This record gives sequence, C-alpha cells and structure tokens, in this order.
Amino acid sequence: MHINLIIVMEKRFGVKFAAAEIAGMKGEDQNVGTLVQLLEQKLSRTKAIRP
Amino acid sequence: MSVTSLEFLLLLFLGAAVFFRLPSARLRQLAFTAGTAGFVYSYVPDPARWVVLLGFVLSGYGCAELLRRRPSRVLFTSYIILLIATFAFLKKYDFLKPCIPERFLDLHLQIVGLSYILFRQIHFIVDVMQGQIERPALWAYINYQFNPFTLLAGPIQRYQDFQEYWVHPVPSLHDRHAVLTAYLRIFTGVIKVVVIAKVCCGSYDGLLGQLGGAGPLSPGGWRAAAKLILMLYYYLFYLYMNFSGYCDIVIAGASLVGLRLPENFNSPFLARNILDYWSRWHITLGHWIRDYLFTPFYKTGAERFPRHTQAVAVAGYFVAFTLAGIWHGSTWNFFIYGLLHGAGASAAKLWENAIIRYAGRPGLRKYLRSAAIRWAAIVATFHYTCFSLFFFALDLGQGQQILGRLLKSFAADY
Repeated sequence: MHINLIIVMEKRFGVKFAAAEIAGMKGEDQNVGTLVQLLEQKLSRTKAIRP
Repeated sequence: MSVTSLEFLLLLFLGAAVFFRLPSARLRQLAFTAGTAGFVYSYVPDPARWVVLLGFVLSGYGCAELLRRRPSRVLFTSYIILLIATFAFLKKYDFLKPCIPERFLDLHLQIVGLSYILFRQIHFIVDVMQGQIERPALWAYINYQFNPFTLLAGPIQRYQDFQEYWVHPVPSLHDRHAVLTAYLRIFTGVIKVVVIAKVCCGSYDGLLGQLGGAGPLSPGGWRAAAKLILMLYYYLFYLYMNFSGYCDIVIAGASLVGLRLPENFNSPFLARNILDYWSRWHITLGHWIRDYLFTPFYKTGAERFPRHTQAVAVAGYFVAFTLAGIWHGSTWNFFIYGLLHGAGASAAKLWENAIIRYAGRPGLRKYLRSAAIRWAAIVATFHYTCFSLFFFALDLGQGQQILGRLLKSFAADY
C-alpha cells in the first residue's frame, strides 16, 4: 500500500497506523479493501472511546 | 556450535524426532528452551557475557512492559538511544574510539548474535508501544530472542509469529514429502556453506593476496582491474552461498519442530534496481529497514514538508541505508557501503518518478515490460552491488592499498 495514501488517511480521519499495520498492508494479497477494513476498525474503536 | 556442524545437525534430527512425541505444549516448550539454552551456552560460555546478554535482552522486556502499561514517548526515545549506545559500545564501533578510553573498549564483552537481538528488540518495543503486541510473555520473549534458528544471522522473525507458534507448537509439515523436502533443503544448505561458499572464499582470498600483497602487480593494469572485478564476483557468490545456505538450514530445521520462519532470499541476482535488490536479498532485513527506519522517517518528514516528499524520500533512503550499513560492521567502510546503497535506492526512486512525470503510468508499465531494459537493469544492478561490496569486504586501509597498487599498475602501462 502506498505510504502517501496512508499519510493522507491518517490526516483526514485523525487516526494513526502502527508500523506493524503498515507492514502488514505491504503483502501481495493486500488491497485497498484491507486498508478500508482496518480504518473502519480504528474508527469504531475511536467512537467507542469517545462519550 | 555452528549450524553446519555434525553436532548441531545430529541434535536437530534427534530433537525433531522426539519433539512431537512429547504429549503437551508445555513439555515441548521446555524441550525448546533446553535446546535454546544449550545452543546459547555453546557460544557464550563465560558468566560475565551471560550477565551482559541477559541484561541487554531483559531490559527490552522490562521497558516494553512499562510502555504497555503507560505509553511514554520520552521513555521510548530514551530507551532506544540507550540501547543503541550500549550496542555500539559492545560492538566497539570505530567512531567511539576517540571518545571512550581504550581500557573500556577492551573489556572483551563481544557477544554473538547481538546485531539481530537489537533488531528484534527494537521491533518488539515499537510494536508493544503501538499496541500491536497485547500480552507479551517473558518466557516466550526470552525464547524468541535466543531462538537457535534465528539467533546468529536471522531471518528476522516477528514476535507475533513466534508467539503464535509458542502457544501452539504443532507440526507444520503434514506429509512425508514435506518432511523429506525439509531434509533435502538442509542437505543443500550444508553443501552451499561447506563446499560452494568455501571454494568461492578460497578463490576470493587468492585474488586478494595477489592484489593486496607487497610485490608489484603483474603483468598490467587492465588485467589487475579484471582480477579486482573477479574478486568481487567471488565475494558476492561467497556471501550468497554462505548466507542463503545458512538460511536453508535454519528455515528447514525450524520447520522440523513446527516453526515457520520467513524466507530470506528470492533470486537476488535478478533484481532490477537497489530497492528491488533489498526485497530479494536478506528480505527480512530489507523489510525491517523499510518498516522501522524508512517509513517512520518518511511519514514524519512528509507530514512536515508535504510539498517536498521526493526530497524527504531521498533523505529517508540515505538515513535508512546508512544506518543499516553501519549495523553490518563497526568500521568506517560499512558507512560507505550504506551510503552507496542509499544512493542506489534514491536513484531507483528518482528514475521511476522521472519516467512517470514524462511518460505517465502507461509509460512506466511499458518501460517495466521491456525485456531489453529489464536485462540491462539486472546487469547494472548486479555490478553496482558487486562494486558496493568493495566497501563491505575490505576495510578502508586495504581498499586504499589495492586501489593505489592498481593505479600504479596503470601508470606503469602508459
């Protein structure tokens, strides 16, 4: 996954991807869907924390 | 105990034969720990080094536990600086010599496998700090760090993958064919290390003796230059056979006890540029450099200077590869080796960007599909990596001496 895409998503959605998560997205079987899924997980966790 | 020694291979085969006959995961873990302790003891017999080694490794676990409970950037940064400083001290880096009295550097505390322990430790701490390792267990962590299959020279395995195995140590080879293939791979690895690498090393040493000796070079400059190129070919093949053979033995050996290790080589001589090379040669190191040096550097730089991402990427390649070069050895030549690979990686990226700018993505695809360009790139990359090995195989004094003699030889010709 292109690192610039990850930077833009971090900025747009206010989340941070860990080094291991970014590394996991470099695999050949990974695609934009994987990134979106991970983003959704992060956003749902953020919502759960916020009152 | 070398991994190509008869003792190691016999113990491995005996251990593998009984390992899955042990009825519980706990007994298998105990057997793994006993094997690990014996292996480490064969390399580190004296208690002073045990203390240093355990202190180095356990400090990582302690720091990770603190960071897991209360993440702190200050603690994280301070620990990483301290860890790298301790590593540099134990490895007696040349640049420390003017700063630290000789009597401290001569404490004879050099420890085998420390370079790879450092990489695993940094990965472990970063991943714990970022919430990617939720419940690290001390016993699993110690076995992860001292795992005899990865202790000496990689491959660099992720803690998460080791922990998965550690909790459920079950067979990974499911039929007779897979087991026989693993034995064949071990045998191939031994042949590569003990026979082919030795022959290449002998030829390299012979040419080094001729080029670096005290007598005059004969009969001419061009022939001496050809010998130098041949010497670097031999060195590259020696490194490849020795290291890939070692990886064959440990990857196949680990699979006999159910542990899957990542592959470390994928036809490196077919790389079409330096970035491609590091995704084929010592793959796990290449990935580590990308994930823990280049990406954090690039992310930080690109966030601060969004209009200059290309310059940030070039700086990132230089920083990442120079640090990786220094990690390979404690003398200044490794610094130059790292710089050369930083330059090669930057050139590859800039070239790709230039093609995209002038011909667009379709132009890049056409460029990548061209067989003639592909082979030209492969030959150029192969020779560039050979050239960089001049600063890997020889320290600066030796290199200077050989180049000086070569120039004199050319001067005598004309």
